[in-house]
Amino acid sequence: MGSIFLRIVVASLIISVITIALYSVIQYLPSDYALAYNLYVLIIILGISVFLAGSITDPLERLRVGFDHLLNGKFVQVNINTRDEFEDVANFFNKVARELIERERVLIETERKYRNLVENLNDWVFETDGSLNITFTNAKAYDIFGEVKIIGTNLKKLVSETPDPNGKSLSFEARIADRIFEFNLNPLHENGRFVGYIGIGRDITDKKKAEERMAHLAAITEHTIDAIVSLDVDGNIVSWNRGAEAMFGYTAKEMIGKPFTVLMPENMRELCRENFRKAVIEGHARDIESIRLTKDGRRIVVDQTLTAIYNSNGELTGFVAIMRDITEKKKSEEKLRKAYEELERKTSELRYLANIVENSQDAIYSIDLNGKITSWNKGAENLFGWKKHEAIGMDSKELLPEGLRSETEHILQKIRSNLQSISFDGKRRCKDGRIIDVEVTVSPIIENGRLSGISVIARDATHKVRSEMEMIRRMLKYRVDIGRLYLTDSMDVALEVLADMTKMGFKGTIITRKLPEDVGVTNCRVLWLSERKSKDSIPPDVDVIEDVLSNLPEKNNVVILELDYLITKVDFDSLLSLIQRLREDFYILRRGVLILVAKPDVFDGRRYSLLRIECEPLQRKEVKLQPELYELLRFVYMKNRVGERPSIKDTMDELGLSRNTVKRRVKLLKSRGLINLVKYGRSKVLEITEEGKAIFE
Amino acid sequence: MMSEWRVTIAVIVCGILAYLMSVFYPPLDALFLALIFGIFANGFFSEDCKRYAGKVLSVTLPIGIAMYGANIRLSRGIPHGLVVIAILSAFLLWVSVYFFSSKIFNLNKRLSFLLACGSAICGASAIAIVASLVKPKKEEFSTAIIVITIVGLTGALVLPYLSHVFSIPLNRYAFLCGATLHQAGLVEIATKPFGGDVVKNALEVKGVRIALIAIIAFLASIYYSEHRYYVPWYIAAFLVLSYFSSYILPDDVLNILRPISTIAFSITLASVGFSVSLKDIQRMRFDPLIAAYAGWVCAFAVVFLMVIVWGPYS
Repeated sequence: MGSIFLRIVVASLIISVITIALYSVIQYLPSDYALAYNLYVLIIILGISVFLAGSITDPLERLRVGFDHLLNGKFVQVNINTRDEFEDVANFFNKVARELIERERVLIETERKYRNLVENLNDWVFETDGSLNITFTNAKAYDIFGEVKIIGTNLKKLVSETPDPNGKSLSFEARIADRIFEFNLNPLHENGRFVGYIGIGRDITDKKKAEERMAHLAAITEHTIDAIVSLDVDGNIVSWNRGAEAMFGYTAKEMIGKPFTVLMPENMRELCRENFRKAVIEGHARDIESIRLTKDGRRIVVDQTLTAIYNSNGELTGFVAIMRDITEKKKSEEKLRKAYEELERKTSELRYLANIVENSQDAIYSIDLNGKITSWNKGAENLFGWKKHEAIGMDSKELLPEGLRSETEHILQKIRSNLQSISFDGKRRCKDGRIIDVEVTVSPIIENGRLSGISVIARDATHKVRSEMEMIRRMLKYRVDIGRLYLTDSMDVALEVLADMTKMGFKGTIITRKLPEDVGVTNCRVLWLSERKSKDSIPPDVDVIEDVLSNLPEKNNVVILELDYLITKVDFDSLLSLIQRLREDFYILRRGVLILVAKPDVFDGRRYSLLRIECEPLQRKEVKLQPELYELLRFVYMKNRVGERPSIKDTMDELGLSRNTVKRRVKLLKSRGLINLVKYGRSKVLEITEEGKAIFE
Repeated sequence: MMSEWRVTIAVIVCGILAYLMSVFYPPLDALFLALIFGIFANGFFSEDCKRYAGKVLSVTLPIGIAMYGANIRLSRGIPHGLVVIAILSAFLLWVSVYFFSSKIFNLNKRLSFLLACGSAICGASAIAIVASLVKPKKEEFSTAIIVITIVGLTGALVLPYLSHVFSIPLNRYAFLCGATLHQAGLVEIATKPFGGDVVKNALEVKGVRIALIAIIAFLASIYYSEHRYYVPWYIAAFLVLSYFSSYILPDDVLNILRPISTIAFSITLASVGFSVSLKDIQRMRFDPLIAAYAGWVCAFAVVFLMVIVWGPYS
């Protein structure tokens, strides 16, 4: 205060001095201009006073400006360097102004933040008066209620569940549209008087749903059959659900706080600890299948998933181990694996077999129950001439020669009756019309326990049959060939041929007018030509006879058909026609030998000639041996051919001769160098010599 | 619009009134009175009206400056030595005031320049002319006008006293007044009690200083031009009219032209005074006044010694 006072005093003094000085000066000036001079002095004094006063009051002016700015919210630093009270005031002003501005800034910032907070709050913030009429709301209200008038509207109108105001805090839940809101209203008081509420409406729909989900998950966790075990970072059990109780037999009370390794077999515990340490460091663990021990000591296989648990700060707080008992599953898998391996093995075997079948030299094909060919290998292609694509779906009868067309049905019937394989020698027709001899093996194809077809393995036996036939031809006493018809006028000759051939394994059939006991053979079927029906009779009917002969065994038949009586019952043309058909049948199917017995005097010359055209004459071989010796030599030859060496006894049994007879005949043959009697063990056996073989070859 | 007219009429009335008062009472200088009247008239108008002062000044200032050229009487037949000393005095005044203003009292350069020009050349007239080039702030312009007026008036009162105290010969006194006082009007005030010859001689010296306004205006236009060297039209007109009035126009014409010129410039200074704000002056504090006093006193002391020791008429 002193400085300002002093300054004013000094200023007054200066003005006074200047005034006095100027008036003193103008005393010396001409008095004519006194008025002007006085005026000028006045102006000078006035001007100086203005500047002096300005100099003194300038700090005040600056402060005033500073206050003006402060009132407008601006901060202006008032710089006054007068070293007096004005400077102190200015400094104080600056300090206060800075503080005020800072507080205002903080206030504005705070208000802005709170305004933003309230406006951007996801909750509905509002104020009401004492009657619950809304006096303030944030923008959230418009999201909730849409563009309706909120301010002035009673809260009860917007939220019907709102309780009556009582001056105390209100909390309630209300449903607005399809959302659930939680309302908390706190009373506002002014001067101790209740004036309204400030309230927050919070959408808790998601929270409710989350709680429901949590409860649901908790229920799932608690009741799942999987064992769900939570662990702390030290590997100690923190929680143990019912699934774990059921799986391991331990109760939660028994297990909580214990190390997880108690569930491990002793030898796995250290490895488990190591893996757990690794999981803690890495924050995760891979899923594993491992062995666990139950309370009763059983070892079970579990599929375990170990998941890390983090707290809100991202720190690892533990793990959740979810274990599923897969012991049974593993057993099943093992069984399945073995079955699969077996299947693989069988498949491989089947593939191998299929390969064998496909590449077999034998014709292998299958036929369904309708007689259609369903498979066809290369051997079949090579043997029969039909390509696979031609054969598949073809009727299997196409493979059979005329007269054997019923073979398939016959075989199917047999297979159905006993479901066993059948092997036989048969004939097949090739694509080019050739009839070939085949060894056939037919097997049933069983699918799902039911016969679904047959498989046929056919081996070309043409050469074998021919060689057999050749051999037979050589060994017979007469020159006969399989598949031929022969004509003779002597029943005795015919019977001799039949007897010779039956000894070679042929099946004999005699159709004659002679009574069976008069025929004098025992190992043949004798059919008596008679119009009377009896067990072994056959009517003199060409069709019946043809039917009987057509149904003979496939091969190695020797048939004697006496025509003398027959010609009296049927006309010659029919008979000739039958003979012609039988000739073809026997030739094509190699059924054996058919010997027709007809006396020339029964037929006239032309007819007999016609018969001779269809047949060949029977001619006896010229052998230098007596028939009985030939028969014995032939027996030894036949046995030697199949690798057997018959003894004297065998020969006796086979030929129905006495020992002495056999010995005598052997001696004769030996003396001719046709046979040797060699010692074999304790007995003696017969061997044909090269010279002996030459007789047959 | 009404306010603008009211202000215009007010400044015209102030200018004419000042001129008439100077006619009827010669010790009162018309230009000085116009300035004072303008300042006082300002107090009678509302703040809204005061806003038009600048607009009125922007019209009256160029006209006044241009017309003021007719009042310039460049020296004819005065000794070259006198011219040199007059120029030297003006230079001294300029340097001294500028030094005190800008260096000692740390006033800004525009205000210092205005004060220096007002002290060295022709007071408020010079300030008004130079201000149009310098473009000072409102408070700087007002302060410069008032300060130069006060200092000039002080000088105009003190110099006759010094003449009496130091018994300065009249020719030297005339030179001293012409070389140191701020305005031609002040020169007349200071010399009138000493007779017409003294006034005439003093005004001749003052005329040399006034003529320097042409150089200063030219230099200022170069120094303060923002984009290019620019000499306003009224400065050029002022220089041309100064030359014509000094060397070409006959006295008959000048006798008609000069009152018109004085009235026009009085109106200009009334406009200047009207635009002066005492509040603005208050804000400028005491420093410009002291700086102007100090600068003028120092320069005056040198010139005074120069005149006493080595007077041009000795």
